[in-house]
Amino acid sequence: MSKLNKIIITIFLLFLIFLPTNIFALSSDYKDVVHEIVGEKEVKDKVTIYFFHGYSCPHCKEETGFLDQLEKKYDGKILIRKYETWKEENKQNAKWANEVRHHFGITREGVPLTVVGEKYYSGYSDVIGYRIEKQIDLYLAEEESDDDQEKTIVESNKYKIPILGEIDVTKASIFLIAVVLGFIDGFNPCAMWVLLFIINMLLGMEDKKKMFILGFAFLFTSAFIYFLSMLGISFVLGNFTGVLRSLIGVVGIVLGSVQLYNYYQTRNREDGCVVVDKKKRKNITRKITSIKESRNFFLALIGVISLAVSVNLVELACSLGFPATFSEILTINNVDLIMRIVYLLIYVFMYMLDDIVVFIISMSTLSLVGMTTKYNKLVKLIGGIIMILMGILLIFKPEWIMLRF
Amino acid sequence: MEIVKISAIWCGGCLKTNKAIKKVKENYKDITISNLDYDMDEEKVAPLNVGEILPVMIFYKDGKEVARLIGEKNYDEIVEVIKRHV
Repeated sequence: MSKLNKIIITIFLLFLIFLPTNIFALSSDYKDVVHEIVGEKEVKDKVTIYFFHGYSCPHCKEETGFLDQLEKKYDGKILIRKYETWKEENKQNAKWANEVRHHFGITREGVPLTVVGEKYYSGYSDVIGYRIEKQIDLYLAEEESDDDQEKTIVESNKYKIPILGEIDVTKASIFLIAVVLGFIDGFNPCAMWVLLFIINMLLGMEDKKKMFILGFAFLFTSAFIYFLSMLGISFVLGNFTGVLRSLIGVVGIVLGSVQLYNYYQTRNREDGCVVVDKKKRKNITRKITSIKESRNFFLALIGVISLAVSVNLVELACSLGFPATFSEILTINNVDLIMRIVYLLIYVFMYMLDDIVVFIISMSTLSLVGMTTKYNKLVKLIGGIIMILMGILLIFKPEWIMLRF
Repeated sequence: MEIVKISAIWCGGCLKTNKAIKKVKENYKDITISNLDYDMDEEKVAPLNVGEILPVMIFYKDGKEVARLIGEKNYDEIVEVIKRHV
């Protein structure tokens, strides 16, 4: 053997030794949990992606294209297993998809459903695509990597906090956003004046029990309408991703700018109540008078409820930016239905808080109390800035609102 | 001196101002304070040229308007105007 051949063989052998460690080292956090369910062999040196889809579902088609790109990008490092679940002959695949849902405790049915290691993704949007890619990168990160930051991301978003114990930062953040946005949205003076009208009418009633029932009926219906509208918005957003999100971003920026302009115009004006449109006021006064004069309690109750419905549908448009943005945050974070309802309830409660306080104090002191108008301008300024910021994030940096820290 | 206050039942800021006015009534017994409702007393309010911010307080001395306070005000702010014109 010539000297040159020896060198070549040595280099080749060295290459072989280094090759596997360089390319095929998966993170120790990676664990293929689905292979047992679908009865496949575990592939140890590749990140296996399980993709359950339906042949005519538009989001699945979108994700298929995305996965094809991934396959090219991570050539040889990932393995994609696809399972069609809608066709009659693929009943077994649908069954497996259900088992996977059961394994992860996923309450949301339907496809696409994607599993990467121990992470699952129900539904598809470009944000979910971004997450899948990030997750693959993390699993492909080398074993020896001592990067603490990466480790924290892999261990989902849980942090240990003194006293409170382990906290999921994403959940805590959405909770916090619900509280803050709901509260600021509630300060919006759009709906408050109708409540004062109602309380004023109620205070004239002799039967205190009926007074409370009518008052709570108004508050409850208002909250319910707001809640339903937001739930509806979040469903619509969940089904049209991408384009619609940018649209909401634009709406947020426009409404926020209008609010800031409004603030600028009125910044030196006296604090007080702005006289509401005369026709609207007359209309509501007439309705309330008819409720007041109705002898039948149930007719009065129906009157109060229908008034609450009509007022709140109109007022929803008054502060559309906030509910739409919050619904979009829920959608981006892929919050499942039950948690979505929980967060929306928190939001609506915060939104109603000022009304509830005014109502309870008025009722217990039997005199009308009002919220001061001293902070209205400040709230307008803060609200406008928040709306614009959220709008910009929704368009340019949606992954920031994904709240993965 | 006489103060005419224009307010409305649907206005939270007016309710806040009412509290201050009540205190003024107690401490300045010789001032006549009357109340007009923006919606109920439309005919009386119209000639006063009230803008679009409520409440409005108009101060009269010898039948002539001497000052006008617009918007939600506290006790001190009202008393300051009274002191200036008494």
